[in-house]
Parts: sequence; structure tokens; C-alpha cells
Amino acid sequence: MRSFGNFLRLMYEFLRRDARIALSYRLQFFFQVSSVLSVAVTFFFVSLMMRDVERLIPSLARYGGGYLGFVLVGIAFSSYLNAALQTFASAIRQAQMTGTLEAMLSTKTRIGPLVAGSAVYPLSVTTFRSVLFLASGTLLGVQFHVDRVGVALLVLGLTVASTMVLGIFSAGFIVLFKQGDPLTAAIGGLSWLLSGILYPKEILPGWVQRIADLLPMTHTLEAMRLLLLAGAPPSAVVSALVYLGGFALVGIPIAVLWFGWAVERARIDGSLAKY
Amino acid sequence: MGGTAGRRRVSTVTSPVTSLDLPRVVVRDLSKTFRARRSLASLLRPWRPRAKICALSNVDLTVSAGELVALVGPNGAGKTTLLKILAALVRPTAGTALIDGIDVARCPAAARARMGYVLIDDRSFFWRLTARDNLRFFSALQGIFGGAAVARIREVVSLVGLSAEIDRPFMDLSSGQRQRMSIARGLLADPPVLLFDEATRSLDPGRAMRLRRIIREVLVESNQKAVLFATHDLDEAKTMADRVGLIVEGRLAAVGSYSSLETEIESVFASAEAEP
Repeated sequence: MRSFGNFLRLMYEFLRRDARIALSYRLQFFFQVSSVLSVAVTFFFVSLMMRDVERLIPSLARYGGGYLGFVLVGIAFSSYLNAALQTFASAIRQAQMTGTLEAMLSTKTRIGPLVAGSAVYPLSVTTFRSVLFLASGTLLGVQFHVDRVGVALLVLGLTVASTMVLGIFSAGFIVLFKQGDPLTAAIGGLSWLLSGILYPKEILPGWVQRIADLLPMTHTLEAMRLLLLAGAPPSAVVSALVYLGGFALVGIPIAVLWFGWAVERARIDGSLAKY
Repeated sequence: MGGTAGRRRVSTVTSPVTSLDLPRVVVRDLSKTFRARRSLASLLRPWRPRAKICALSNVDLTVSAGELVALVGPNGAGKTTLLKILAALVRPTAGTALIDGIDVARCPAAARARMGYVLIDDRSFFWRLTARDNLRFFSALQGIFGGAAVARIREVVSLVGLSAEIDRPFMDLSSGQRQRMSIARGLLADPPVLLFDEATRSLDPGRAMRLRRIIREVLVESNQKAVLFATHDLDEAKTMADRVGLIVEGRLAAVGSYSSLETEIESVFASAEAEP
């Protein structure tokens, strides 16, 4: 219990460190907020353009019928995938390049908590941005089913866990090869294209939809839209919960084993802190 | 082979050494071989074994509490590889390295808890944080939190004479102050063993002298730390070290007092300088 308490305190110290560094760049914070608002307003105008046709699109009707809500949920929650894919790998890469990795690795903390800690702040910022997206949607007239927030948080938790699998794999590639992580490009690109972030996946050819169903983000977005936009009951998202949970359950041990192997390999090669 | 004087049998256990008489650092038959990077041409012939580079070969060395051993040798001799093995950043190919009785290859985290790797590198700090915030973060990585961290930071900055600079951003510190920050960081967990790699590199003579005095008088003599200090500054080795280990092409050629090895050391450095 004491070691878990220390783990949480360590995670807090990572959060504090990264927040202080981020706040030392004051303009960055302002631009992060303004970029969310500008994206929301841009899609507000796109949705105005589509106002007369959106009710003719059956795949949108499943999620309440409005395009603005559809796309804002897509952007808000897909950012968790980008955060997970980039955070773990870039935490290592950045620490290798700035020279802090060797200093951190020569303390008693193992590399696993170092990588996990580096993800705390980016995931917190992603959550803040997601809330900001949804809040700006509310201001622009989107009605969210607030009564489904509890189940939505469960979906979100499983989404973070399943995207962590990909993030840890990605970090393993960076430890081994320093650059050229194939996962970020492949999974990130495929998810952007097929998961239904900007358009419903139902408009894709059937065989492509089957590929899309393999991606965790597809299930996340479908569940989030059903819950928050259509107000569907929790039973409507059971299959998404099972998929995301299963993906995390199977994937996390494999990803951790892969990462541990990559670190050991780098220790043998003496390349752990090289870039 | 030098370095065996005062060496005792220490079993490969996971409990820390308790007696000050036992060496804090024990290196036995330590070897490290790296595989050479694959060239583009060798990628076309994957069945051929990769060339190997021998960085360390059968090194034996001990460092006791209250002792400073300088590792000298030309560039690329293997000094940094030895320190990185002791810091559990590189895994040895053969042999044993014990820090305070703990095998660094088998129990790296436990060994690191008893060792401070003083990495004299400006870039190893977070420049936009204050000195205090940097030390607070590294304290957390050493498992020291809250009030204990506050007290420990106060102690170590006082030890290295940085109390007045503690709330300044790291980027505003002078190069000498940054190097003292590195020592302060290495001392956070109050480890019995300290490893220094080129600690006074790029410092002007006055600052280098001050840093050497802190290491020798405060850490070794007053606090009885076991210090392994890699340098290629022979004057530094001569003035600071109780013993000197001469590393040449991965082998520990000799260990002893500087005066007993002076001719050998100077001849090795003279031939290294003569190389094209």
C-alpha cells in the first residue's frame, strides 16, 4: 500500500514538473485554448452548410442527427489516441535528446514509472481539451446527454487503457531504434482515416469497415456518440466496452513485455540514453 | 593486475554492506563487449556475424568508504563504460560489479539507490524549473517526498554552497553552480558511493579547483563517501586521488598511488597524444 502511495506521489511530481514547465511558456496555454475554440467554430460553420442535408444521412441519424455534435465528439476523443501514441514515445525521445533520461535512469526509479509519469500531464491536457471541445459544442447549440456521463467515463477509462497499449509499443520502438516508430504513423493514420472521426464509418466500403472495427478508436467514438449524442442506454455500448476492455487486458501485458525487452536490449547495446 | 589490494570476498547478495571496512565498490573480472553497428553493406549479408568491440576486459577494482579512486586513461579507454555499468545503465557482458554489496546487473534499482551518478551535464536538468524544483523532482525519483525532501534539499544545497541560488531558474545559474547542482542531485539519496564522469570538464581553473575541494574535503574526508572519479586531467588525479586506476584500451593496466604509477601513466598519455 505504501509503495502504491509513493507511486501516486511520484505521478503527482511528474504532473507538477510538466505543468510548471508548460506554464513557463505562457502564450502556449493561450494558443491551446484558442485553437480548440477555432476548430469548434470552424465545424460550426461546416455544420451550418450541411444543415439541410444532415437529416438525409442515415448514419448520422444513429447519433442524434447533427453533424456538429458528431464531429466534436470525434475530435475530442480521438485526441486521446494521438496523445497516447505520441506521449510515451516522445517522452523518451525528448528525454534522450535533452539529456535528462540518463539522469532519471540513474535514480532508483525504474523506466516503467518514468514513462508512465511522463504521460500524466499530456493526458491531463488532453482531458482539458476534450472538455473544452464539448463545452464549446454546448455553447454552439449541441445537446449532450449529461445523464450518460458515468458510462462515458467508463468508456474513456478503457480508451485510455487501450491506447496506452499502442503508446507503450511505440515507446519500445523509440528505445530500440530512436526514430522511425512505425506504429504512430500506421495506427494514427489508419484511425484518422477509418475510425469515423470526421465522417461516419458507415459511408466506407464494407470491407474497409471491417478493418476499421479492429481499431480501438472506432469503438470509442461509436460508444461516446451513442451515449452523449443519442442518449442510448448503457446496454447499447456493451460490445464497445468488451472490445476496449479485452484489447487493454490482452495488450497491456504484451506491450509491457515488449517494452521491457526493448529496454534490456538497449542496456546490452549501451544505447539507452543515446539518440 | 592492480586493484586487488584490500579486496575481500563479497558474495553476490542483495543486502547492503554494513561494515565500513568492506569496499563499497567491488568490480571483479568485468568485461563489456559491444556489437558494432551494422553498415548498409552488412545488412545485405545478415548471415555474417556482427563485429564486436571490446570496451572493457577483465577489470578488477575496489573502492572503500572515505576513498577517492581516479580512473585515468585516454579518450575511449573505457572509463565511462565502467561508470555506466556501475550505474546500471549498461549491462556487463561478463564479471561482477557490486555497489555496497549489491549486484548492479541483478538488482539495478537497489544498487542505484546506494549510488549517486554525478552526471556533469547541463542538459540533464530541466532548464525552465528553479534549482529547488529540479532537486524536488529528482528527490521524488529517489523515493523522497514531502517534508523529507524539503529537509534533504536544504542539506545538500548547503553542503555544496548553493543555498542562496536555490530559487533561481536553472538556466540562470553559472556553469560552476550548475556543476554543483549535479553534485547536489547525486547526494539527494545520501548514497555511500558516488561516481563522477569528467566532473571538472569545461570549468575554468578557479571553479574546477573549488569543485575538487568540495569532492575531496566535504564528500570523501568529512562524509566518508566512496568516490570513483573518471578524468583525463592528470593533475586532477594527482592532487585528489588516494589511488589511481590506469585504463588503457579497456584493460585496467595498473592501480596504485599516483606517484608509484607516474611514469607509466605519462607514457600512456604520451603515446595516445602521438597517435594520428
